Amino acid sequence: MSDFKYITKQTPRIEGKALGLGHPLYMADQVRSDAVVVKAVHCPYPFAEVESLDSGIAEKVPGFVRLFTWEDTGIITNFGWNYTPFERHVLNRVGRYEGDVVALVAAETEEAAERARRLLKIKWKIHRPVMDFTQALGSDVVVHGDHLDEMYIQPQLAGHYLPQKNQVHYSCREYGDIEGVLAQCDHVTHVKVYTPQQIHTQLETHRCYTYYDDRGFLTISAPTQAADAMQEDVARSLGIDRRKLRVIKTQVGGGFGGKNIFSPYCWCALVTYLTKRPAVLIFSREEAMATIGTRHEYMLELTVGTDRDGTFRAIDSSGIQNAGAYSEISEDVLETGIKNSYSLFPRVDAMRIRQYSVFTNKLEGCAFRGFGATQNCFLLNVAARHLADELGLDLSEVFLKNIARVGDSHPVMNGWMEDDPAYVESSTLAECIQRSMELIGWEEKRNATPPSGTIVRGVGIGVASHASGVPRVDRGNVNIAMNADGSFCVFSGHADIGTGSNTVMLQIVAEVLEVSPDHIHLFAADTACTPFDPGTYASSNVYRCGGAAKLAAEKMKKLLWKSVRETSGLPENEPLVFRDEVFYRENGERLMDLIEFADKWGFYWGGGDPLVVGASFPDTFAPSPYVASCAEVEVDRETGVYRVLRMSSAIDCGRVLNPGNARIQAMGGITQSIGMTMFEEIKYGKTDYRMLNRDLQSYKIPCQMDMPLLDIEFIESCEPSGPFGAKSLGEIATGSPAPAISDALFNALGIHFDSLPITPEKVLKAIQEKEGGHADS
Amino acid sequence: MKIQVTLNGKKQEWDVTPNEYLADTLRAHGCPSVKISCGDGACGTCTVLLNGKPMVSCEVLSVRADGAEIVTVEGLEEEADKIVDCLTRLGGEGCGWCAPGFVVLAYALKRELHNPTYDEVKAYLNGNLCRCTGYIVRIEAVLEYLQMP
Amino acid sequence: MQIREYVKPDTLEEAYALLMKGKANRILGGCTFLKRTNLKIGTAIDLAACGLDYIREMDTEVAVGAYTSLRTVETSEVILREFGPALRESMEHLIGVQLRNAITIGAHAASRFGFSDIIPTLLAMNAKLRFYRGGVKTLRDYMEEERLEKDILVEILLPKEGRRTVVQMARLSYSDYSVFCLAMSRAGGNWIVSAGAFPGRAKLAERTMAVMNGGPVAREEAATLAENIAAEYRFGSNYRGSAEYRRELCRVFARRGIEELAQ
Repeated sequence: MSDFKYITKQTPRIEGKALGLGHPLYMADQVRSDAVVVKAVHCPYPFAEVESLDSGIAEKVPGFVRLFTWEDTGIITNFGWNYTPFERHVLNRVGRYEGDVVALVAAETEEAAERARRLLKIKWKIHRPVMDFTQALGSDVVVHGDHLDEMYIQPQLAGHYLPQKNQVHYSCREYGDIEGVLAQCDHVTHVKVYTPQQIHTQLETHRCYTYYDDRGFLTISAPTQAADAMQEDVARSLGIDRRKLRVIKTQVGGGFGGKNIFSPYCWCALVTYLTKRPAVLIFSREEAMATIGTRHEYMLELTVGTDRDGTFRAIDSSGIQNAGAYSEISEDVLETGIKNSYSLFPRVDAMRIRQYSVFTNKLEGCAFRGFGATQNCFLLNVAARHLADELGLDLSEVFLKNIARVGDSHPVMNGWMEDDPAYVESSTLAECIQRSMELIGWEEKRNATPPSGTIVRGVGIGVASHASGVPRVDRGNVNIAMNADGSFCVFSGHADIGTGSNTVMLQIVAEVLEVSPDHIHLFAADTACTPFDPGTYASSNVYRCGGAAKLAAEKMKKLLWKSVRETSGLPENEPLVFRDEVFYRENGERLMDLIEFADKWGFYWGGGDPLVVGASFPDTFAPSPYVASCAEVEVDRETGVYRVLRMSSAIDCGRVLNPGNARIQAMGGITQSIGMTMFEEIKYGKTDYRMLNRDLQSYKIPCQMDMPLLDIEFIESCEPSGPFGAKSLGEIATGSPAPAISDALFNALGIHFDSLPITPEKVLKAIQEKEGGHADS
Repeated sequence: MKIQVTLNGKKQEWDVTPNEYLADTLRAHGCPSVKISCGDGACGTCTVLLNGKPMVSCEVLSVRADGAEIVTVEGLEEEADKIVDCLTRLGGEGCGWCAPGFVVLAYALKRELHNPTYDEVKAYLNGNLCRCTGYIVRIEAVLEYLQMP
Repeated sequence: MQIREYVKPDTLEEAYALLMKGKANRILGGCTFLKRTNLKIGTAIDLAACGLDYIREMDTEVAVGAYTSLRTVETSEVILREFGPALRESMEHLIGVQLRNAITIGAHAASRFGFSDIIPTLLAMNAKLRFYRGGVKTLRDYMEEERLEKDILVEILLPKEGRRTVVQMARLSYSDYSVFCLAMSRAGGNWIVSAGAFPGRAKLAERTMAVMNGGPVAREEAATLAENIAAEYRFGSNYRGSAEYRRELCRVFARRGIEELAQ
């Protein structure tokens, strides 16, 4: 590994310094002063329609420019990828969740827009909402009942997508004779878990800036996770030629999946499209929290049948996912969440997974780091813990007995096809389990004498798997050109959303070309010049886009060497030496450096064709990264208040290409998961169903002082299909903290906590129920 | 109304309304480093030094800055360079949105606490939320910065 | 929030005159809550030039100026030496240094915020408030007042009574508001017990305090007294916790507080 020069080395981000010094890299720093300010008009009820809208007074506000309503937008669309159902307009008369946008106000200044928005007189017809997702399927409240006839349902979704029943999707996978195998099992365990809606809470709220450029291209400059998909969506939603729309990604102040919803971009683009003026839309914190998506809420059940020694024989799972008011990519979250998590335990004789996704009048679910796998991994871990408890086994043994190993294959795995089955080709999960246990001090802590007294401690473990991109769908594409000055330029559609993927792309290209990253430029996520990229999701940047970068760089290297020979008058097979960016003949004769080559080849007197290459990397099996985490908790048995003292995580993400970035990805993912495990959850009023915690005073994300000590280690594997052996990392770390913490609580208290978030109140209640009275009496 | 401030060492006169907050005013006066995220003092991304003290500028009425000395990252020069170097070496800038406010706070910490312990550093930095990094490398970066001359 | 006019008078006299001049005139505090209100303010009066940012130690009390920031209070050596760490502990969860530099203790106390951990702690410390017009009154009386007179809070007086104060709080995350807060103090045979965030405005457990102040309190009585303290509050439910959970926390915190202070 030490022969690498650029990858595997701690490399600061290329834009890191500018970010730290506060240079104007973000969208808000680049808005022209003559842009009109756009404010969204939100539905104040979970389910209501506009009966009348009077803008008479609002229009008199000095600086008022224009009001936009559903009457301005007739096209049925969605705010996402074109494979998801088209079930809304850019603006809708019916608000299907509190925060849904029915109209827009544009004005010359922020104050004027805000005033005009407040002065709109809207009469609402309020409908009874359906809030409980476990009761939504077949409910008499039909979230989209009023406009079923106008929807467009893609042929492949027909039969699963049944909005008349509030059904977004139904997934049923059955492998083997589940009933038969279950009947033969020595032991059968049944569990039920709940996971809440969590908000991405990127520190940069959702926003968009649009304008017509000098040639008349409608241009969107915004923090987005997917420039090409967004271009397609906005063009479709406005009914314009995609080629007349350009999307430029700006620096992204946090994505986590939440900047994959294209609504703000459609709204802002509509204003520019209809007024021909530059426009800017910046959501307040409250708007961002109450308008864009959440992590999907799930209620899941699982029956696992095992041998006496804890070997899994059959897994039978069912459940419901809350899609919220619009389906967005809920179907995808449902299916992908299943594949990415159940691949963790592929060595069973039978497996059945049946899950529904349903509409409710809650804030819609969307992509959120973990993408359904976080929730399903929690379920699988909880089941393993229950059965370990029931069989008197150590949970880590149960994991080691059942986890995926190299060579395993199962139809639930990503990319598996009858004639081209998927195999686990790389995994160090077993070592990860052992290492995370060592780091937390499992042996002495787990088996300590049963705790007594008021303050008790416990350790626990959790494991998780994910994927690297979407199999047989995603491709990475990269073009590389050599510049006239002897430097190179990498063109990639991928969007660095604050994870450092730009830097890793350059490290990869630098490694292959043997050229310093300082001599390589990068253009990313600009639809006018970068090749297609499906977007930053599914943890795919390093694996898929990095894979393409490596292929393209290899092509460039070949072309460059060939051209050097040609321009030096050497035969095609003449061996060359390239050292410190200078070409030599094998006998040591210096030929030229890169600047000299560029001068000879293409500058004024040159005449060689420009050096340009492109490469595409197919994501076939989306190989799984793995993680094992251990947690140690300390619980006050009289109050239920607990702290996570320490966590250890050992991660297999293939080869680590940038150790600093990798560590941040792991720690950040763990931190978000700690929030979901302990306190993050959207709360709704019991009678008015209003969202109660919609700012950072009331919706808390983990702060510095919430953090336990964290030990992160990477136990590298070498994934044969990945660039330099790399797999993905972005989401995997969110999978294991929740199970590890709930297992640590189990170890401390002997109580199973299967419903998230695990609040002190829940803990105390469970302790009291177990002890049959007050803790202090 | 007109107010006088010293921004990053330079005397300036601003025309502000009584309803304006300092974070917005600073952004309008050439300080893009001042980020606004929560708008109610809960996240610390808008942290600046006001008369030498770290302050959430989104909660300070601009009129109250009359006569004050204000320092943002733009005015920290070498100190900002040092802190940012420590931060970026470890990847602690994350998506970058919280970084400038954090740099100001780290600088304030160095001036306010003498030989702080790990826990004191951790507690001092608590008001600066970050959704990317998991915080720990930020403490490491500040501890490194404190060792620097 | 909307402010028509901003004024920074040099004296409290001027400030008071301005305050009384219009119904919509207000004294500005740290302004950290202003933005979240719908207040329409006529003249916003800033007392920054009135010299209210101080911590002064006197023979029988420590005076804390109303414009003193929470950060100044929490780092005050005088307050730590005289009263122990309780007041600091009640503040340090308020998000960050840069917010606590903005919040002034006077405005926080005067607001009577129900979520406050600081107010129950000040109550347990037997704090008094000095108003420009109304003179000195106990924080306890101020918390109970039905209709507040327009006035200017000048300083908070912390009596040096040799009181030991403990504050206990439970929260879902470190910098969230409390689910429940209980502060308790003892000076000789005199006890003060106050609760906040239940989730109502902080108040004392007067009846049980009367019992406790009527004779020596033994550690063995802690559980019974705690039960009585919990019985004095009408707990409510909100999204941070249920009434039942708060009652349970009150029982536990009260018992622990008495056990700690009773020796």
